[in-house]
Amino acid sequence: MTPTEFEALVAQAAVARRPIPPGLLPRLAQIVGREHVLTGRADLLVYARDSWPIAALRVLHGKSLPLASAVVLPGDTTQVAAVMRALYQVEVPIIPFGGGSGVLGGTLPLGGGVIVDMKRLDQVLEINDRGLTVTAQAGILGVDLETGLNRAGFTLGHFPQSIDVATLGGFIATRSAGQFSTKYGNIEDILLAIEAVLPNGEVIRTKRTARASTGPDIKSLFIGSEGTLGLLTEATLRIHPRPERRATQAYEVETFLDGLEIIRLVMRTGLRPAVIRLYDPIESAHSFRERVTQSKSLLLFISEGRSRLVDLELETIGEVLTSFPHRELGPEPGRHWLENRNVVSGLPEFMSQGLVVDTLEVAATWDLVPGLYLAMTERMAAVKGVVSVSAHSSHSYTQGTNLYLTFLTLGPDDPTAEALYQQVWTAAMEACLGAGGTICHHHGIGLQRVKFMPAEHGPALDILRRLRKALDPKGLMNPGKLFSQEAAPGSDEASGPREVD
Amino acid sequence: MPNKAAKRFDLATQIRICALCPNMCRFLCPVATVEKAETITPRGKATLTLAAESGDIPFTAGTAAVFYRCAQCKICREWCPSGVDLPEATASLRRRAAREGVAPKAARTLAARLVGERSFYRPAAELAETDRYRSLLDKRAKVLYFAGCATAALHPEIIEATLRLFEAGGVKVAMLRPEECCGLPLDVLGYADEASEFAGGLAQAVAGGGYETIVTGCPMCAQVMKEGYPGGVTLGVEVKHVTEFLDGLGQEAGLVGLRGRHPPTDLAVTYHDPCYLGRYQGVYEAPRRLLAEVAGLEVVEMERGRELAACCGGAPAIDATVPATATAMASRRVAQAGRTGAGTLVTACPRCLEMLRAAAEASVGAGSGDRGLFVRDITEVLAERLGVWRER
Repeated sequence: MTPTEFEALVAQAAVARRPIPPGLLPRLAQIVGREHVLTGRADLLVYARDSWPIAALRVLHGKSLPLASAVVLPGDTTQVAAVMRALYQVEVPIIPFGGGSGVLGGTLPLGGGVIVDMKRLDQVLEINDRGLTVTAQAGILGVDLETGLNRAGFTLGHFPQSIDVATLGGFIATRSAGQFSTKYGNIEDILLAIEAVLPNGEVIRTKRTARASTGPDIKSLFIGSEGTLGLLTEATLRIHPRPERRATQAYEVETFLDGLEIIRLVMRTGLRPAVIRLYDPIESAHSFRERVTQSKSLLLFISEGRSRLVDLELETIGEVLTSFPHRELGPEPGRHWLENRNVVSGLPEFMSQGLVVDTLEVAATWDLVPGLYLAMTERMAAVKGVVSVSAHSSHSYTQGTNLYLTFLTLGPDDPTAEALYQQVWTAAMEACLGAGGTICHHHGIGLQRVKFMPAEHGPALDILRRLRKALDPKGLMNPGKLFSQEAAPGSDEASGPREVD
Repeated sequence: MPNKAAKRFDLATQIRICALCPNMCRFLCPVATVEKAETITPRGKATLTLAAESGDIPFTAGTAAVFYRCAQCKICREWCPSGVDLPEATASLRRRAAREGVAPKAARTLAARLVGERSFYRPAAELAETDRYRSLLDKRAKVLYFAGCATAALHPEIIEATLRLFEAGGVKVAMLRPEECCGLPLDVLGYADEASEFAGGLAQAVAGGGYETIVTGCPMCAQVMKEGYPGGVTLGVEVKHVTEFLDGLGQEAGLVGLRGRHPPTDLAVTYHDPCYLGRYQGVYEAPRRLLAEVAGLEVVEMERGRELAACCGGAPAIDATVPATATAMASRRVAQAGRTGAGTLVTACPRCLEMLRAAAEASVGAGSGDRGLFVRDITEVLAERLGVWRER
């Protein structure tokens, strides 16, 4: 049997499986307590994946996934450091785990090893009213952090669709974006300081400050590091007083490209509505049904903050719209979106019924966005077996926007489903790179995007490789993820010179 | 945003959907919230359900134990846009565990004790103290008051408070002697046949007394008596939880006449929805109406109440197999109640009462700021406010 695409990805990651030495489990139990070391087959099976569709399909079909040797759940930074030291010393791979909501295979224990689940570090440590900051442990769920802040009259303003599932550490490690990012920023704008445990067990803390000119930004190295440089244990973030008012306004516009142009002009005007979302005709019809005319696109704005500013912002957006044919749809579509924005049941429902659905997100500057949209949708739709390709834009900037592509292919019961899935992805990524886009806006790289990293970064990728090698000389942190060219730890290649892919 | 969608998929498809979902309800699962491990989350359990059914993992005691770490509280079902009823799948795997002899030891022991003693707590014979309430009972009554073994064993004062409320409302009631366990805990632990056997005995006693209505203060008893037992045994009479029954009396003037008997108060209470009363039976408003309109109290809502109220930890399988988790669940709920600023936490279930009261008392000891939170059963609060009963 020829290897499946999944097996090819695993092979390409070149992570050799490493057994755990005797004495390690008792040592871990000593550090975190026996009840927080899981080695049962049931536990290992559940921890074998995140929310990557390929891994889910394999579970559905009883196909194997690499299993870790154990899962540990440390309870504080000291325990995390002790666990790291214990694992690093005996050269066992370390796979950090938050909420398991990543959609790219970023937590799969390719070389076995030990998964470190951070969710017992779940406390809000300080809400600083004057400094407008919150400090929390990295394993707290996004929803619990936001609820805690709301209770005290604040908001983080960071609302990824996975807020109910993902952890704060996961937000940072994957370089996440929230639905209200146009106003509040993405995680890199929100994060002020971190505490992290390096692979050797050393604990580092960066300073909480409004801004600093003290050399390259150390905390930034960990944003998007996907567990390859260390384990995040704590973070300090900007917070905001809860907005006085939230208002929504939706429009129907003639075409998706018209909508993109309107967003560009709105952003150029200097406005910062919390949310700007534009859906192509397929997604407009799917998500907003009878609210929008068939073959038209829905454009949604949400503004929040001081009441007078909200009015002014929406009024100014209305002025930009006057140059384009449009129909006002009022506040209701926005309320509908707010109610349903985190409902993702369509994906598992489709998959359980015999279809594969996935989304991928890219970004580009405004000059390239229309070409990017046309190239990607055309190339993805041309893959045989693709039933539908649709798009929306959900995070906009003065310089550009993201595009969120959704595709639907034939069934998971089809033995070629995995190969077809990869064909669509490859078509999408190649079209994106060809059109000058960046291959990922906010989901991260995980395992699924690894092979496109050399083309994305070019020779500069080697800087990340060198950084990783400096902090993790044994190559034990989440091996095989983020970028390839990790020879199997301990193999001959591991210490020798390497080529760039 | 609780889900109101009707179930659209058969159970096997539901489990596949759950295993494929990114675990969107995990933040509400009261057990996963405490235990943290992925294994215990809804998606974890769905993944294992698939693996157990396909034979990918052996159905050992270790695997079976995961399915006992579910409160059967149905909060995941409530939230799920696809209407996935994971607790239903969990229940069927518990039956398998019981059948195959791999249920956790604590569950086996508890089930054996239930069968032997006919009560969740103390032998049923010891609980047959209805003589104490002789003057409040009427053997010919058409209404049967079924106290439930948790109430009889742990909170007998609730029985008297409830009987005084019936008396005040002009309702004549009888009680069974002895009153045995309703059988639900056995079913919950996976012992369906044993539960049906209990049901048979109860059905006989009910038929023999010629009762038309059963009123119980225990939401678990009410659930199984309303919905029927595994094996299809039904009691064939109207069944009401005491809050539904008293609310009915209130509407029909029974207790309304007593309103105003109580002194005015600015006392605020918060109300904890028992899982079996709320999500299972949809009874949310009756207890709130009784507290506000009959008892004249201000009801302050918790952050998550009604459909999204978290389980108190009193679920029999949780309490029996992972007691520390049960205690932590209760503490979390008490902390939520404490944040409302209300001085009293009222509930309508003897199991919830037990768990929450213990957690409130422990939190006073731990100095967690929940000091002074009284935990009371709704019948006690009502009877006291109406001046028909006083705690001794």
